[in-house]
Amino acid sequence: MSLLSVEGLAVAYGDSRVLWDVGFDMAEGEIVALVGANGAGKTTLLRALTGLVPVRGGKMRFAGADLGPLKPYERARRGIAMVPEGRRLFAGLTVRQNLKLGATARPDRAGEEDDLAFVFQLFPELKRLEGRLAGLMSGGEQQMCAIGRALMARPSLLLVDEMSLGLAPVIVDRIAEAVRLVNRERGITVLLVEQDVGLALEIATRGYVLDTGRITIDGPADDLLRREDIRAAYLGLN
Amino acid sequence: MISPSSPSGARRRALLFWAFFAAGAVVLALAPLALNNYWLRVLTTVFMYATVTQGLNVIVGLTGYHAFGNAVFFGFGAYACGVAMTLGAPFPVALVAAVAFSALVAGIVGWPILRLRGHYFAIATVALNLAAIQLVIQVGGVTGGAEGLPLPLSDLPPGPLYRAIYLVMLAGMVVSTLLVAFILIRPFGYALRAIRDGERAAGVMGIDTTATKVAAWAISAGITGFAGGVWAYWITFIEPASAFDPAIGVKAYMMLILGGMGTVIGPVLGAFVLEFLSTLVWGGFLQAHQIVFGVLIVVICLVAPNGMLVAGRSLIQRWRSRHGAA
Repeated sequence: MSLLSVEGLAVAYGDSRVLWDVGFDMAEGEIVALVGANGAGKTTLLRALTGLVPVRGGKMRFAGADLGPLKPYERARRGIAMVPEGRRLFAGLTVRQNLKLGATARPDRAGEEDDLAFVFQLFPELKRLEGRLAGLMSGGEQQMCAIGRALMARPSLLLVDEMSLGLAPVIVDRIAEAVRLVNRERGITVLLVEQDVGLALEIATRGYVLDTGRITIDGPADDLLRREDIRAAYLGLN
Repeated sequence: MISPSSPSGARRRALLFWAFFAAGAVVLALAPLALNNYWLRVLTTVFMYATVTQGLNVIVGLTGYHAFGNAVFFGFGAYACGVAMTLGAPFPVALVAAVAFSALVAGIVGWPILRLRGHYFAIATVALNLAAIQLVIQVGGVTGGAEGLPLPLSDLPPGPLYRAIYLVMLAGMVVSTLLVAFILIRPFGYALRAIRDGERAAGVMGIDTTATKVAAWAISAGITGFAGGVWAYWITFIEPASAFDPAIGVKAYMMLILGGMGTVIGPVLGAFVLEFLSTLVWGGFLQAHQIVFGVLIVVICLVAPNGMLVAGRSLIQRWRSRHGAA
């Protein structure tokens, strides 16, 4: 059974239409990549899933429930966590407070300390910096904190928006490794939204290509990586 | 460089801070034994403004919602206390009514207007403040309407009465400060600051932002209403224009900015400095005190735009780095 299914999704900001008839499915335990160029509508799609933009049409079902009428915080409490583009940490709070805040949406208080330990094990630098204001850290440290914050909600679906943006390659590798680990060890389903098509398709099992508001190509990640048109359009290879 | 302070150092500083705070509260509580009536009145006013500013701190400093018209709850508190006492309630009961009524109004009005953001919310609170004046005048009856409302006089002679009011105002300042400190270390306080730093992100984190904001405003209103209730009993005669005077909110805002938004002790410091300054200027420049006071405010905003606490901290840091101390 699919954990998330989207059908005929349409979103517009005022008069300008951004998404047309977008549909895709995610099974439990998958890592799915959603790739596309700047302005293709990737972030808008995530906003529609988290409830930050009103939807013009279509259906979104998550774990058997209709997402449509749910407010952002209600979706979070049902198990959807997001790592937003540009981290969006709460700059005036410390690392520890940001992580604790992430736990607001979790279903059980009991496992909170365990998950905090898991996050610190995943990113030891967060343990060292736990008392530091989040706004005073480097981009990579902030990204780790943002992922940790999302994990503290013990989500069943993790949405990751542009995890590689503006980070050093060595940090990107670590973050990517962490996402894989979280998927493998915790069974968390992951939707990766990336401009770095090569990176996303390497981690993911399946991929969708979003082009000016429509899903144009989909298939297993390996196949997509080999396709000539994708290599030419997104990877700059011929 | 800003180094992360070690947990033990932070704990020691916190302990020191609360020791100072407790000592200050005890000294102020004993001060009426030595003070003359003039200074008793000045200090009571300081405590009153510190309480109002602490109320403002909850919604503005912690939550990031600029409630320019927050003094409306001062007026609601004053009137709730006045009406309750006119109907025969003793002062402590009337004070509870002042807090409860103000919080209730914020809770009800908050649902619609806390959906507004930025200056729209700020303007809506100013409108609320002005509307409240008209409301009291139109309702008339037990509120006394435009003629004002005299409160029942106390049986206590003036000396002990003013000392009692001094202590109640002091309690308001101390308790509201402790409340802010308590909120800051609770998940509720994290949620407020998350809303301040990024409201949509807070929603995606699973925080019910509307309910959290309404709760914060109700707390803010309750604190402000307490000060208004005590004030009403203190001056024994209230009228719409003085109870809902927008200048109260403006002054509290200046104190909050001066002391440091979102800090625990900033509102108290701001109230002490600004009120003493205004009292001294008043005494020194009888003709031109408004001008001198205005210029002083502008200078303070230029020198310490983020409040005295932040300015003081960066001064200490500069001094330390210049003297090479670790």
